[in-house]
Amino acid sequence: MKTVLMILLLLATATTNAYDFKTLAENHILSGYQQLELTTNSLNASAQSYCDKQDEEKLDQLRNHYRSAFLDWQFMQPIRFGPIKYLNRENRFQMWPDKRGSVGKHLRRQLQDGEITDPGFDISSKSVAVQGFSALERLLFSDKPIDSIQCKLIVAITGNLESMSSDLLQDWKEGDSAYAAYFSTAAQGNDIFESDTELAGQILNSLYTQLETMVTQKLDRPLGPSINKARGKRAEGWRSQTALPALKANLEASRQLYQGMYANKLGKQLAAKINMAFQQSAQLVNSVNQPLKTAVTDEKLRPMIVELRSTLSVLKGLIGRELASELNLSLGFNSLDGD
Amino acid sequence: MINRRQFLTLSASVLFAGPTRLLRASSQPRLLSCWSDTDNRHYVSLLDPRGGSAFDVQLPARGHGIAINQQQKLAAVFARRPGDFVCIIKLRDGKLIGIITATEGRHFYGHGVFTPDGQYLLCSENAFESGEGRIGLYDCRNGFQRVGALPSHGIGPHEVKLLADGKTLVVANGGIKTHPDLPRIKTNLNTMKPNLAYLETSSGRLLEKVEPPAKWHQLSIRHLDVAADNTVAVAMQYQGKPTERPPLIAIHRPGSKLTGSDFPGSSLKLLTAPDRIQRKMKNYCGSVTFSHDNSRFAVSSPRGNLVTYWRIDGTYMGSHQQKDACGISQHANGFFVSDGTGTISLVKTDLSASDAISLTNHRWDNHMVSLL
Repeated sequence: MKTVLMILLLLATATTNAYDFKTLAENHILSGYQQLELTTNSLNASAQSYCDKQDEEKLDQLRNHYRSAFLDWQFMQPIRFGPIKYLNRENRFQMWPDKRGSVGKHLRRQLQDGEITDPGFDISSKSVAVQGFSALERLLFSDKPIDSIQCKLIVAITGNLESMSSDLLQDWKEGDSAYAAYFSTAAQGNDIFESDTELAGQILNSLYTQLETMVTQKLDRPLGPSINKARGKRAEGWRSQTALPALKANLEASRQLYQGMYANKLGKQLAAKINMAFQQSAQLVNSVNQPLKTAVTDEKLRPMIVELRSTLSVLKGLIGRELASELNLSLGFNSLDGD
Repeated sequence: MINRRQFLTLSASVLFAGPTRLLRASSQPRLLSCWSDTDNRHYVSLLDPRGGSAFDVQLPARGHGIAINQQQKLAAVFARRPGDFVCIIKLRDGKLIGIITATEGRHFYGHGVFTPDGQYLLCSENAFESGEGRIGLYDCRNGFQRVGALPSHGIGPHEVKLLADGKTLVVANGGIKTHPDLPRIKTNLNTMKPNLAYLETSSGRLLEKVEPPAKWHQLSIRHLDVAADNTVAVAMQYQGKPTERPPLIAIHRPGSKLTGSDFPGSSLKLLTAPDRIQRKMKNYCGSVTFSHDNSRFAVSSPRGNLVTYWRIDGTYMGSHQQKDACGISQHANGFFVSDGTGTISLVKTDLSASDAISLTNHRWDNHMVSLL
């Protein structure tokens, strides 16, 4: 009896130490993509309804649908590998940052081009810059009234977002080569992941890249070096005022990834530091009560955003260096390059 | 006017680190490689086992390929694709003698080669408005002025090498279109059509062109090396789904159809490692190098922490595991293999590996060359 108990105990310990990829895939990834499929479906329906009969109320509804779909996308942004990488989907969902103003340029070109009215118009074969949220935001949140050509494009983009979302979900969960299936068998090694360490490293990379994007793209760029040099219009989604809600979604998703994958494998001290950094970041995001675009030049709010940036930097270091070394995982250099 | 804009002397940014390298043996060749530190500063370094002239030169951005001009004892260090600079440094002391900047409407694409007489530098370039590949020609004896360009006969040229005659250029046209509007985004994955093109450097005339079979049109031909008998070894990267298992390595002899091709109708001889090894490559190869005696070649697969070894006829020999391994260069009795963790291993002919160099805060980049 004693031996049986011992074995059970050992097994239980072994289970808590193994990475639980299956639960992560089901509870976080598949459900997140499912949610994105739902909201992009509603977005497309709302776009069609608005374009059938344009009025203010329907435009408001459409804009709200935009915001929810965009935030569901932002929630899934930390998953930066797997089917999201097929066929440039990541960039087609959202073309940001857009340092060269390509979205505006390509959008103008697309609107002038008569082909939008062709019955066979297929936006998925056009410039990645006009296929997703970034172009859609420009169309929906402009001061000028939306004309019928723009409406056709709005319907095409929302339809594209919906079909990309459903393809994404399908690639994750259906058929012989469903990506989620490779999560369940990673520990034994399979065609995609050599071992559980490889998948754990892949997810860590993805999480680290997300934190880095939040610091260097989403915060550094609008903040600028000083209050006089702040650039509010460099905030992600400034037109739809979604920059801070997007950061909040990124942060919550990142926390869930961390919690589901690594939290129970760390020593108490490091776990406490990481928890603290997540908590502080969340508090700071919540306490900024203006859109990021204007907050970066607000005397009272700017320091909070600066603090948010440094807390996230600390978090990034804790995860990229301390966590990686404690769990013996590596972030990679040449393996990430793609050249 | 043009040469001033294109070739700026920027010796101020040279950074000498001094001969502080730790290296074991003294009979090793000197190694040249780009690297990045953990704060994302970028360098090219010469590692000299005798400690005499090791140097670090800071680069304006991340480097990639390196070409050697034996006549003038110079190295050309290419920016990572899509790049706007090529640094020209002296091999003797690492002095940065100038930077070629990309001409308007063009990007450098990561690699290039000097003609054997040391007169010209040929660089892979992208004419990004049309999306057509170009080979830019620069005059090494005249301030590296751009003196013309040849068509690459494909989209997205990456690594280029000269055949034994010194006059025929072989180009890995990766097939992937990019545009500076959309940095590093591959805009034609559905329609890409990579090829290996041979062209006459005096005229740009296409002599021969081979493509992967239509089924594998997303197999991007990126890197290549040429043996003394003109066997070209090719390392590829697959742009389709990771659940598919295409071959990733091929050999080709210009003007001759090799026997035993798996895909009749294609004169590229596609090579596949045993299943267990093939899947470890993760559909991605990073660099390829022939051995000093030309009897073998090595191909790195950094995503699978793997290097595979092949005979010149395409027979699989074996592999060795090395974390994040990518750069490969020659040693008299094997290969040096560098990686993103700071290690450079010596892999002998019997595939036994030992660490030769290990430096903290160094992430060795994709390519490395040996000065034998």
